[in-house]
Formats: sequence, C-alpha cells, structure tokens
Amino acid sequence: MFKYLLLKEFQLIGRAKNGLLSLISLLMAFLFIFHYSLENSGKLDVNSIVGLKWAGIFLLAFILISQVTYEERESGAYRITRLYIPSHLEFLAKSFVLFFLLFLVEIFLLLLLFLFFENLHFALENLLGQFLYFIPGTLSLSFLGVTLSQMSFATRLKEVVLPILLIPLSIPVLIAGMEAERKYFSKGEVSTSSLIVLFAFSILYLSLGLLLREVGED
Amino acid sequence: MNTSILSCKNLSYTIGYKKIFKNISFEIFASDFTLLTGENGSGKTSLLKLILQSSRKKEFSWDENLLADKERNLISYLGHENGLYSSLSLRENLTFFNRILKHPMPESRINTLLDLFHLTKRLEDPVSTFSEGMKKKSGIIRALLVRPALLLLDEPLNGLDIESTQAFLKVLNTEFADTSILLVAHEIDKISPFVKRRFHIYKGELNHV
Repeated sequence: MFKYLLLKEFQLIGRAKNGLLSLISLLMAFLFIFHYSLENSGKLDVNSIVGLKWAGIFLLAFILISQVTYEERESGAYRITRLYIPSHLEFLAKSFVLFFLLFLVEIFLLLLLFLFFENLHFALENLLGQFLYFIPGTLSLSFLGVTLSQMSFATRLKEVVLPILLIPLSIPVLIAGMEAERKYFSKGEVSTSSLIVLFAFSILYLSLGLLLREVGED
Repeated sequence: MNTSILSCKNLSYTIGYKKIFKNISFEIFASDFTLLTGENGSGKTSLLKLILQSSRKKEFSWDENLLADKERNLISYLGHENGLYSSLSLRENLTFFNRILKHPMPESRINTLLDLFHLTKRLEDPVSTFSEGMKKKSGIIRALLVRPALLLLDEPLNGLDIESTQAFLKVLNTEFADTSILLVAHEIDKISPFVKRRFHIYKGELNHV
C-alpha cells in the first residue's frame, strides 16, 4: 500500500513541474539579490553564507510544504485517502516525498552558492560535509511541515495556521543547522554532537507527527 | 428483522458557540436506504462527517462482525468535494483509489461505470479540466468503487443531468441493494421510490419521519 501512496505522491509532483521551476527561479533571484547587493561591496564571509543558505532552505521548505499539501486540502482527496489508508502511512509517504523534493532543490541551492559567493570554495569534501547536515535538517523540516499542514487542515482557518506554527518550530532546527555548519567550516571536521542534535530534531518531529496524527483528522 | 450496523446514542455536537446536535440518537440498519433531510445549515454534512470519524467517537458503535471483516471496507463517502486529486487524470485517480481498497474492483466494472456516466473519452484528462457535472460524476464513480457496509452520499444529485441521475439511482438500487445507504438530498421526489427510512434534522434534533 505504501508504494501506491508514493506513486501517487510522485505523480502529483510530476504535474507540479511548473511550480518547481518557479521555485528554482525564486531561489536564483533571492541569491542574486544578496550577491549583487553584498558580495559586490565586499565578499561575504562563510558564516554569513551559511546563514543565507539556511534561510534559503527555510524559504524552500515553507513554499514546498504549502504546495505538496494544497491539492488534498482543496479537493477533499485527503479525507477519502485516509478512509482506507492508516494515517501514519500517509504521513510517512508525504514526508518522504517532501524530503526528496527539498533535497533535490537544495543541491541546486548549494551549486548556486558556490557560483555566487567566492568565499565558499567548491570542493568535494566541502560538499559532502554540508550534505551531512542537510539530511537531518531537511528531514526535520519535512516531518514538521507535514505534521503542521495536516493539523492546519483540521482547523477552520486552514492554511493561515500553517506559517504561524511552522515559523517558531523551525527556528531551533535552523539554529542547530547553522551552528553545526559554522563549526564545520571553522574546524574543518564534522562535529558528531551537532549531527546528533540535528538527528534528535528529526526523531522528535517524526514522533510528534505520528503522535499527533489524530489531531490532523476532521 | 433488519440488523443494526451502526448505532448512535446521545450525540451532542457544537461548532464554536453553535450547538449543532442536542443529544441525538439513531440507528442505521443493514441494506437500508435512508434519506437525510433538513434545511441548509441544519447539520446534515456535519452528521456525515461525524459518522466518518465514528470509530473514534464513544457515541457510535458498529456491528462487530463488520469491524472484523477483512474483505470489506466499512465506509465509502462522497461529500461536497469530489475527493479526487484534480491535477491527476481520471484514470490515475481511479487506479489509485481502487488499489488502496480491501477488495479492489475489476477493471471491467470500472469501464462499465465510466460508460454509464459518459466519461470514457475523458479518462486521460486531468480532473481539473472537467465541468462541475463531470467532476460530480467522477466523484460518484470513485465512491462506487467500494462495496462498503455503509455508503454516505452528501447531495450526490447536485449538478447531475437527468440521464446521469437516473443511471446513478438505478446503480444504487440494483447493485448496492446489500449496502446500507445514507443519502442527503433535497430532491425528495426523485429519491422517494427507493427510500425505506427518513431522518429529518430540525433545530439540532433528529426526527425519524
């Protein structure tokens, strides 16, 4: 049953190609503005680039979460699917697909950062080191986003509730991610404790999603 | 004597400050066709949605044999929304919903329903490109994929042409004779030949008519 859910989610993404393209355009515009306004007047240091990157990740997650859950809210298909499928499977399938999508766009984000900002040197080690932090950070945001979008579906205010809940609960992940990467760039090695903190957030938000899934029902 | 498949006792329900139901009780019997009527805003849709959540509500109790049945889904539902993914084609929607059922319907049967509602030619088109009537018919086909213990239909005749209305009522009467149906409608004349029982909601109370 899980594979049918995944197939459906990927079919929905396939139909939302234009949305993804507009997201990539937005990302390019966002970074270009910083490049043009700041990089030209003095190169941005690595710490600022890391902050910029996590701000970009938050922006992407915020838009993608709204996009991947929009259709189900609008057409009532979500309510029907949950009549026949255990809610935890629906939650896991949607979180997985959101993670996959975010990860794809984040690769693009990294490449753009290398292109726009000189202080971020393109090297394979650099790339792998950053992906190590991306994975748990993105997992956390995916679990959190799907949980909150399902909860907001059940409220009368619908999508208005989503940003109100998403912003404060994302901030700890963003701070942990930025701190982890700053340590990585200053010391040149992956900090296990930072990784544990980020994975702990993933597990926390996964558990939250599984425990609160009944709240997301009508 | 008909056996009760679902009973509801002393259900009260409020939305915000508005009291929708005051201690209502009712039973749904096996293979019964029940019509639910009431003024706009009286709580008909709310009642269907509460039945959708009945497994988690203490006021409702289902026949235990039905709960244990691994071959039969408990409920199928058609609400005001058609319950289809609008950017997917009709075929993709029906394939998905058919696959997740306990007892998927054979493809030949789906094709018969598509022919009946004149939707075969639009099978590959996204549901978002359909007219309102076609969306309603697609939603009906989706709801009829299931052979449930209880079929909940919320104003299914809205937006249907005469031919589709007749076809739909015929399918309900012939092929869903062993299914309990709870149908919300204002077109009582069209439905009344099939109805065995009628509930009417008025000022938060449910009356057996």
